[in-house]
Amino acid sequence: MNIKDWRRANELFEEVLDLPEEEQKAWLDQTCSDQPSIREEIERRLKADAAAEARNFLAEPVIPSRTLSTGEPSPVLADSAKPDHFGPYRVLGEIGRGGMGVVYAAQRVDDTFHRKVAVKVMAAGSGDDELARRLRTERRILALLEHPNIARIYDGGTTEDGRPYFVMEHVIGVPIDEYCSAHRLSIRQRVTLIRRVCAAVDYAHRNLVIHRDLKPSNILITEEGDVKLLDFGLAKVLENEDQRERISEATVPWRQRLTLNYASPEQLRGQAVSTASDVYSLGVILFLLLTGTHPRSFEGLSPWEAEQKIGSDPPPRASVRAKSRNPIAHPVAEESIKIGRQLEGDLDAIVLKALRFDPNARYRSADQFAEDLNRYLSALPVAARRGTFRYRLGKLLQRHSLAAATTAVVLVLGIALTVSSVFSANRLSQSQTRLLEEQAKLERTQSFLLGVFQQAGPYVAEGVPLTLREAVDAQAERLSDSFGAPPEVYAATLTTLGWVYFELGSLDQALDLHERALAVRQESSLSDGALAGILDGIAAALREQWQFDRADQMSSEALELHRRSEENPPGLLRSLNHRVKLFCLQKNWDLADPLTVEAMELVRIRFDDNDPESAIALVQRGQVLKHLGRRDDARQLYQEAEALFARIYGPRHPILAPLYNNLGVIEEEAERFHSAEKYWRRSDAQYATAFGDDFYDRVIPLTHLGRLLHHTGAVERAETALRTSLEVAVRSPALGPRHEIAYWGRSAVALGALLAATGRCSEVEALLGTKVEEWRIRSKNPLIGEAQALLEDCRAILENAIPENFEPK
Amino acid sequence: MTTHVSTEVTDLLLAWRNGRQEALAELMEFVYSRLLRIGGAYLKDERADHTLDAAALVHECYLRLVQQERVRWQDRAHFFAVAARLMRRVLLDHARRRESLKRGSEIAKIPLDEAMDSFPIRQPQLIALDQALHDLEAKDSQLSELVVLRYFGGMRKEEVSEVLGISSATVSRRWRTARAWLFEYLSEDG
Repeated sequence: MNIKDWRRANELFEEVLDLPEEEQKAWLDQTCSDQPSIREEIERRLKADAAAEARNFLAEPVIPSRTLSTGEPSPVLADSAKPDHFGPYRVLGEIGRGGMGVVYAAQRVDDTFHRKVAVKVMAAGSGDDELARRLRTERRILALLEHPNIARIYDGGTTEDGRPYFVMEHVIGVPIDEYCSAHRLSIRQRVTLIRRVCAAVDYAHRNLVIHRDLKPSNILITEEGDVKLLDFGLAKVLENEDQRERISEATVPWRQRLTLNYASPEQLRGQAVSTASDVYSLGVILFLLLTGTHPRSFEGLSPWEAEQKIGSDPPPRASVRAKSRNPIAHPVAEESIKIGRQLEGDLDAIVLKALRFDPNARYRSADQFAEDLNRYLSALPVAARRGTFRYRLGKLLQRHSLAAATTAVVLVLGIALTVSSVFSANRLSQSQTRLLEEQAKLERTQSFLLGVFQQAGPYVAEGVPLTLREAVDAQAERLSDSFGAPPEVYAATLTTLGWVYFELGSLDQALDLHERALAVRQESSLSDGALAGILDGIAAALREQWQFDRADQMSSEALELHRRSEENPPGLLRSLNHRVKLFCLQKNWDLADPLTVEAMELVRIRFDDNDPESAIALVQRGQVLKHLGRRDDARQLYQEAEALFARIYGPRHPILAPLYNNLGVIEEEAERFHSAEKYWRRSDAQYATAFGDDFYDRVIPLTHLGRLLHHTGAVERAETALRTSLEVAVRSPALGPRHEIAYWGRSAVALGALLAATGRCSEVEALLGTKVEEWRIRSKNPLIGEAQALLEDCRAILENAIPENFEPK
Repeated sequence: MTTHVSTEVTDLLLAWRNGRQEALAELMEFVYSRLLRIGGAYLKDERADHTLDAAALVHECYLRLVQQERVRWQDRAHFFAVAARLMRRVLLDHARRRESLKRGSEIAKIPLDEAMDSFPIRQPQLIALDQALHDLEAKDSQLSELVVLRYFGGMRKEEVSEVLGISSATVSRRWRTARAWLFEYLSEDG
């Protein structure tokens, strides 16, 4: 059999695999009727395939892929003989074994109090210098630490055969997670417990020790309810105050001992570890105590896979996880939901801040973590959720429940002065003063927006309602001076209006207003957050004008300010989204990638599920993942965005149309053709419903659909879709010549390909013949190349077809 | 590990991705020598408490040789593809040396051999399989490549899909072709 037939046989074999077994024979009969040798080859392939499957031929990689430990300590080291004593300590029994050695319960021979101690010793016969070194380091570290919540070291020595050992406090207790379940602790009790663990870890940090292996089995709770931190076997002493270190090559094998579920991203990647790495592990433990599950399970994964997962899938909110908990483990569904509600908001935010991918975005130390847990317990605003006006107001009301009723009424009336009098009884704290300022700013902006609609009302405009655009223009004119508002309020109003123009597509006006807002800076200082918002506005407008370099510069500055000020998380998210869009337009997926991860973290941390920016962040993350080849993940995010958009705007909103279109593309690539067709039809319908049958963007899903149907052999339906698409492109009033190629051309080339394939070459000539020449002068769109090739083929066929009695020489 | 080692490997990796084919050969040579050393040390270091698997060994190698800040995860998939080819070579060399030993030839053992004898490689006539792969490569190099990545590299479908630039659905179908062909080839032989 020649190589061409051999390949053909393989192609057909791969096709036939998709068919149900009972249809295979008929299909082969039909397809290979005139090629018996190919048919025979395929039959043999099918037989071999079944036999290979049955015998597990090559089913597992050559070296069976067993993954590293995901939680349990490494199994036993070779050391079965129980020693009698270590120095003056008599061995009572074995307590446990780990990767580094064995722990025995023992008693000092001459101790009249018969106090029990624990002796940790390097396993016999291991003869490993590295192990011995680690054990000595642990001993040295424990000697540094003297804290009621850290197991204390008493003594140390070397066995007769030269193995180092040390003697420490014998702790009787249970791992923290077991303790919480056994005592059915409430959420508050669990938080209190973790806060105490934080205090012990912070003590270690202040002594420049990083634990690096915090997990429930290393945190015991005694019968008296005391916390005891154990096992500093992987701990590291920081050499200097800058609190960072790089894992040396020698310690790399120790990564194997990491417990994947609790290891921070930087540990998984073998990068610099800091106190924030311990914070991460504490965050995982808190998540576990609150929900009974790990934020992400790395069960059965290699460190490499875990690292990949951790880098691209932000952790879920604890509240969401608690609500969706396995009903078998937690039979009372209502209970889960109740717990979920308790976690919503502050605790969600605190856990997620501890679990941030970027160590700098986490709590800097266990102390800061504990501090925020304290704030949660005292109903103070938590640092993790610093930001929105509504949030802080809510907290204020929570604390001043007596004043709450009054305040609510006052707020409804919207009389800021009265508000201040309510609180003037107390000494006004700084944050309360700020609150009032923000309230004032909010009201100014609101009244300005109200002005827009008053302008648009029929009475004001002498009986003729203005268009929204006219109303905005009229109101903008009134903004020629600061209308007596404080500078910051004036700037906020200008930039709000700038965004309105941006949304209306008037980029020059948008730029003008943002720049005027920026000019306010010359008279009065603006906060970092306000400044960042203005720069975002400028960057977005520049981007839409394709001035990428300047847009990049502005948006980078804006993002930096947002990150620094931390005063406005919604603004930060919007800023990230705009910057991602900038990179997506330039197809720079590598730069967009980390930003979308950051945006996703914010989406998970924030609690405003009605913010369209959250949905935009989902879509853009999806876009990036799609281009990085992670199609299924992208699809999931798109679907999440779909649900969110539908909730915010309603299911008929046109914003869903491009999303459906993208989903169609993903489904086609995954060869789920039926689903792709469904999405494209929905996308088309959504456009048509929202903007009418002649709306030009219908062309996009319709051409996709046409091409798909053509390729899957549904030629008639394909032609219908493509002809509709062509008609839309012809009729659409909004399209000038500039868009002819992108819309009409797109449909025409797809239709042309179909016509050519069905032997209607003269129709192709009629459709594209004159256009292609015209386009070539104007544009470099790759579509034109495709059109030209198509046309040339058709012309060649037409020429050859004319002389019917043509004979080759 | 000195800095220049990781720089070199990283640069080669980037060059290969950017289409410089010679970079692959250089990369192979370089990583091969390292893989032997690390592999030997790895197996010697780890006693009964650690299992060796291809992915962990290669991952370790990757961590040591590549500057991770400079490469994207796609590059990592490509690195693993290199490593898969190397696994094939390491295992084959090992199998051949063992064959020669059986025949009484004098061939120096390398540290890896001893360790390898002790772990459970599934070797369905490894040398015959290698020969079959050579023949398959002549007919359709994508098919043999796919087998190397999956069987020797222990790579998952998605990773293979990234390296070969085909969808994972196609990876599955092509895998069955390759497997069926190899099965038949090896059955005929035996």
